[in-house]
Amino acid sequence: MTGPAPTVLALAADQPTRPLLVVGEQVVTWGSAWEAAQAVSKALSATGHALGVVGTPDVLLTGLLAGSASSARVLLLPDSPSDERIAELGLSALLTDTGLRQVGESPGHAPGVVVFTSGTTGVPKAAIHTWPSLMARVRVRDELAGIPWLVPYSLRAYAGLQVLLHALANGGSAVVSTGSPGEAASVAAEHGITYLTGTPTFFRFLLATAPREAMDALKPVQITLGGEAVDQPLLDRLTARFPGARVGHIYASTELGACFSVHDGRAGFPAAWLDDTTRAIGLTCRDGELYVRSERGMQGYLSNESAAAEDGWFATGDHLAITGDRAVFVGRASERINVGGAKVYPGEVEDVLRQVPGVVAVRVSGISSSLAGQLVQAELVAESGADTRALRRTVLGYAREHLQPHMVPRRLVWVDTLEQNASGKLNRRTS
Amino acid sequence: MADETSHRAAVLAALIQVREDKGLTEADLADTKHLGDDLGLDSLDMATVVADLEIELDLDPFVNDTGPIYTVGDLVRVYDAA
Repeated sequence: MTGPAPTVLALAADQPTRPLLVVGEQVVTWGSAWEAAQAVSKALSATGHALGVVGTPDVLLTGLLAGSASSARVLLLPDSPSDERIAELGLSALLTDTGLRQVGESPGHAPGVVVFTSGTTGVPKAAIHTWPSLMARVRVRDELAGIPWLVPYSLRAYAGLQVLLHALANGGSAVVSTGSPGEAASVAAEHGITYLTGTPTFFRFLLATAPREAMDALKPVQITLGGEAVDQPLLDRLTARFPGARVGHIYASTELGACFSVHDGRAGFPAAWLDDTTRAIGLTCRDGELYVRSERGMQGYLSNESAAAEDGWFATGDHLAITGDRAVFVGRASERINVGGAKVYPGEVEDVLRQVPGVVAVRVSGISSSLAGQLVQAELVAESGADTRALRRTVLGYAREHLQPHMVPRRLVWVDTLEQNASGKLNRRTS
Repeated sequence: MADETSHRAAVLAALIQVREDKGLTEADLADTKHLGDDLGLDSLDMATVVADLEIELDLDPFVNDTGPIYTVGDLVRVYDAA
């Protein structure tokens, strides 16, 4: 046994009726979770299976625990695989909502978990993690003992997996919210959740759309943002709305795990952390891009493609601007829009447009233009009841005042909501 | 009288829309008006007009060589010829 299985075995024997996983009306207890995992583990019989798992949160939990108990490599699949995909991934067993299917001999893998990246701007990659590298990030503390955790992501995403492992290691429960951020606030209030994690997109929608009763009932002691660049106004609004909470943000990726967290209430991170050789996880900036060197990242990609440079530094794809003593994230190279040769990061435009009162959320993207290559388009979510004709004029006026001409959105589209992916990030994939 | 075979109305609407902050009206958009000097449109405004008209008319004359376009009349002609 490796990973969380020993802890779960002990608690399942001790307090079998305690809830472990809550999804709406469905409650999986520690006892029933262990029973389901044991059944799968026994059926696998051999160690080292390549166990693909896809399905509802309880299926993912069963797969993870079974893999942990039987020393399998668990692959948290983004969708149901075809026979071709099963062969391509080298799966020897597949666990879905309809049960376990063995599709081959155990390849004798080392135990671990394969987590697929969210593929926010491209094709998802599969990062191979060992249980020790995953568990090394999990804090076990007295004040966390037995508490419920809100999971506003898919459990198969790295962020969701991390929250679940916190719940497992601290004998708590994972409350999965599959609805909108506004509904998640109600779920969190109902379950008395005090540690809130989510993406900036999640918290923007939560602040704008959560029912008043839920907001009043919510008493977080800690709010942790991650997965996307955090802007200062959001940190300030969360601090003002939840004065009892510590508000911090974390930099993590599917490949590297959690790299650092920032608790000084400011966006970005201290520029002095770059090239500071005393830090456990090395950070440096090359050509404006953040590079990270970590002992505790993934083993590699499933596809064998190289991840790190020869010198051990990993290119994150996240670009930085250094302003005074601060390094702030400006966006990802893959998201850049090229307007007549001038590069625009969507985040730079989004940060400005979000300042306009009445605008809840923004997604900026490029649309193709025969004359300029690309033009900036903004999709906006307005506050309910807003006069979008008047708001359109305000947004454009504000954009012209605060942005260079090539960054001003040339097309504004009002939308009801903006799609988030399994990790709760704004979906930036263009079709 | 609207000319049903001309895209004039769509072109004028796109020009008014692109700089709605300037408060242009059709009266400002005589054929002889210079797009840059008279109306104050820059190259990105032009690119926007073309992108908007591509959606509106399903036409993009600028994928081919159009020759020089200086005035409102030039622009209307390019769309009518497409």
